[in-house]
Amino acid sequence: MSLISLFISSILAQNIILTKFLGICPFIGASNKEKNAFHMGLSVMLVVTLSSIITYVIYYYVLVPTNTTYLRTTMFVLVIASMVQLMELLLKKYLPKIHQTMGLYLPLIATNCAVLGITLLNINNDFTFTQMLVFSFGSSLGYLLVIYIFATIRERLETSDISKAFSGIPIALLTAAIMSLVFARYL
Amino acid sequence: MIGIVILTVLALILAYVLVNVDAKLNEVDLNIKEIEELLPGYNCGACGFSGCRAMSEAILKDKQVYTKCRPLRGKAKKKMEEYLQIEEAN
Repeated sequence: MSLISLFISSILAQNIILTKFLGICPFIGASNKEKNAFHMGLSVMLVVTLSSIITYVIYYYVLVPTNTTYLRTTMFVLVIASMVQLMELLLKKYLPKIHQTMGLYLPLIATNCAVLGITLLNINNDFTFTQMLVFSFGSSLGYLLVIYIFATIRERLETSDISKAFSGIPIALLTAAIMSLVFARYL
Repeated sequence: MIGIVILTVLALILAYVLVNVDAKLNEVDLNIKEIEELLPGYNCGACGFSGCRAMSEAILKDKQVYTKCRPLRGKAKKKMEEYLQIEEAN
């Protein structure tokens, strides 16, 4: 599969949130303000790219030669959690304000099924190294794109006239449903 | 068997990396370390701060805050008072 079509499909057609339906928790939880959503998307991008490279290398150079591919899930989770911790340390030192505003949502990336999903999909789809790089970068970029768009929509919704039963999370979920219809068929 | 070995080695490598990065990036002020060692170290949060590290930073700013530490009593409390040079309310 050509790299460009892989890149575009991982951002739009096979979007990690709206089509594959992974990583919904920060999508709903960290998207009230567009600034938070943008930082969240960037953190996920960093974690996904780093973890994909490291897990791919460990899988194909350690697990496959020793016939221990059953350790895949445990090993991926270990590496992802360490990458999240590493990213948190770097953020705390170099961008402390962002670290404070993001607060609890950073460690939640460790249990975010989108990150584990992307790393496992790299293995399941039998990607080469460059394909893996393009796919992880594209998927996480798609994540950033969708969470940012969603945050801007939510900010706009807050200032409009919604009935009390629907305001807050219900209207957000409806918006997400409409977005996923658009991404599934018309993009 | 080989699985156990692989996971243990991986965990040790990751732990080594994380601890070293943390030590290099977040070098703590020497005074905060000394105060933190004088505190009981339970990280119970009874003082209202998020752990003994946060408490030591608060003590640096305002000495009287040390009374908020509930597990700190007896000899340990005297040591803290000596370090902070506070006169005992006798």
